[in-house]
Amino acid sequence: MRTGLPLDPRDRGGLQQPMLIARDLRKHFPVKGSGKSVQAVDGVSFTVGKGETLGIVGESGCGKSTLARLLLHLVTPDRGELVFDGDAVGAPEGIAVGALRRQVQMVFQDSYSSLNPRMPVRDSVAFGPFVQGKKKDEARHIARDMLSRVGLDPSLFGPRYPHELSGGQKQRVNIARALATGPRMVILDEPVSALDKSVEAQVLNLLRALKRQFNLTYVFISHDLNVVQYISDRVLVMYLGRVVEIGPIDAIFERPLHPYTHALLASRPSMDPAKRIDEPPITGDPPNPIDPPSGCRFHTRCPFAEAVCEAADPVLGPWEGMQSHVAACHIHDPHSRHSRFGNA
Amino acid sequence: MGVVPVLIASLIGGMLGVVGGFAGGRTNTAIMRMMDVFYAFPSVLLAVAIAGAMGGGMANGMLALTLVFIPPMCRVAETATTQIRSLDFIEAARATGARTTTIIRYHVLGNVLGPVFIYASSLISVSILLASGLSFLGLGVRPPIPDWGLMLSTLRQSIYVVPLVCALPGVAIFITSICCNLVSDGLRAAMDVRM
Repeated sequence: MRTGLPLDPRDRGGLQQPMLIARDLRKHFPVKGSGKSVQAVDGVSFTVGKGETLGIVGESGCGKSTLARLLLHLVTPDRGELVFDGDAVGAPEGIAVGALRRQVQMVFQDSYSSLNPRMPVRDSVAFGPFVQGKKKDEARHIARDMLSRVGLDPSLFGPRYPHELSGGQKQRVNIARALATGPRMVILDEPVSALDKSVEAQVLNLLRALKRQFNLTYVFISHDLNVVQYISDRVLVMYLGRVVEIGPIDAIFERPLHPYTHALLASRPSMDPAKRIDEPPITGDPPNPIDPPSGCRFHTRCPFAEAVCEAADPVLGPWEGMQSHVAACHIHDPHSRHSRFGNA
Repeated sequence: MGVVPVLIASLIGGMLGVVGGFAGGRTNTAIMRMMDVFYAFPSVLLAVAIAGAMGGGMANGMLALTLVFIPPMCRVAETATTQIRSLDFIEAARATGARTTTIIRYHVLGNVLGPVFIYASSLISVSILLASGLSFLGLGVRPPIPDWGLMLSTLRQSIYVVPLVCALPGVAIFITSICCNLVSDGLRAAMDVRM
């Protein structure tokens, strides 16, 4: 899939070089008065290959959206490093944040609040190119082109205001806005979560078509496993601000390694009425991210938790290249002396 | 006398409010607490006190009214800006690499202007009342410039002789300020943006 793509003139490292490398990203939000902090993202590392779609899944509040904002430096990380196509973001010899934002764009979940209610949508779309140095009529022209690419007639929908559009149409405008500046990578933060099922399918297909047309790389954040399965090449599973499992889509969905991923997959509604789920595969709420459990953060809800899980932090591994399927679980670590090693 | 202070106040107050609301944090706290100090006084009393301290005259009267109206204007602008600032489209604008001034110009002002304008139009009637009050007390307009408040004051003695004459300037003030209120209501209805 990643071979045979025409090379972008802005490409620097060739197809083998990852589009984005995140190393040990961390963001803690201080809680006023208590001296503690919400550990929204705590040591997350991953890579996104060129032309790939990386899905990010996890429960509400596990730090998915914070992670998305970290990738664009809309929230500055406390620690950690981002490398975009070989250039460290924000480093003196690397790529500046402003330059990063010319190549990476974002689509937000709430299609309503992500459009200015007092601006015709064509102006919202034209704003990005305009800010990045295009003349006003040039930017207008790009906006018209982009609106028609996302399937909205520019002369009909361009002059409208956001409150005159439906949710699906607004999300199309948001996608047009993100693509108007010609990014190489797009971060999609739950782009279809607020849409109903039929519109969701349309938007997903649109995203796939646009990816081929513009040769894009996606980071696709969602809590809906079916959606992620449909659109992603690889999946990253997050739990309480940490990566618990990462791997190719088929491997994750067929042979999940981590008990949490297993539970997530089992919680999908069954398509077979004879196999209804009566017992929820996972119970309780996720622990408070202000005071996360010691060791493996999942041990409070994990059916296989043992003493080692509470005592030691599991690490992701063992790595075997970009496409490897790894989980942060003591069950898969021969050195952990977890009793279930080898027969999970 | 009624309109000018409101215009100047909405300009200054609006600017302060947008800056404070968008900057947030300590800047905002500093600006808003300063405004709260003025808020602590009843507006009539504050206007009278300022005009009294600076001496009468039309310019001083207008200055006093302007100072009285800055805090409420600032608060309206600040509230609107704070609401807008946390919305995703501001974040999306930041993600395109736009500078803060550009974002304020294109995305914030358009959304804040509406509420500020509506509030300003409703303040005009208050301003007219306060202005005639100042004139009545001899702190605003001085003869020979004509003013309804001034007329009320000079016609006070005739109240036992021909009460109707004495009431006329009051009626004029009343009608004008009602009209301003109606215009303000109309504006509010016309500019209402569906959220």
